Amino acid sequence: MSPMVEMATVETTPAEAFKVMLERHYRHLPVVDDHGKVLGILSIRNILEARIDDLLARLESRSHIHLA
Amino acid sequence: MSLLEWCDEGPATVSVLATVEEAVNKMLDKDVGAVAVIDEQGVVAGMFTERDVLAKFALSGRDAAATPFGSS
Repeated sequence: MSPMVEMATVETTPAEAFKVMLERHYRHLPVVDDHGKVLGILSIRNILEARIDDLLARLESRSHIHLA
Repeated sequence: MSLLEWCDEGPATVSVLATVEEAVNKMLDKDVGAVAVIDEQGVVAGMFTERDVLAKFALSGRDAAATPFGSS
């Protein structure tokens, strides 16, 4: 087991969470409440999926502009 | 935007008293690469990941069913 030195809360911004994950080479980061209880686990896969959705949406809107 | 919107529903957790075998089974059941290790109060004590399995356990020759986290 790897003892936790970094955890996210619901107050943590996505940018802050990604920075920690990239700098420390974490692929998972627990999101905890004020008492340290786990609410969710953020994974690199979740972030990648969200990013791909965002990029596809942008591509879609750009192609509409181009066609217009 | 809350980070929770990007998390899978129902985080994968195991007790701090669990064995490596239980953690690996939880990862397989939930199709995830890591579980949160929680104490008796539900507080996160650490994470157990695929990387931990490889780096600390896979080649150790120890029995997964008999190895608690404390020694992995």
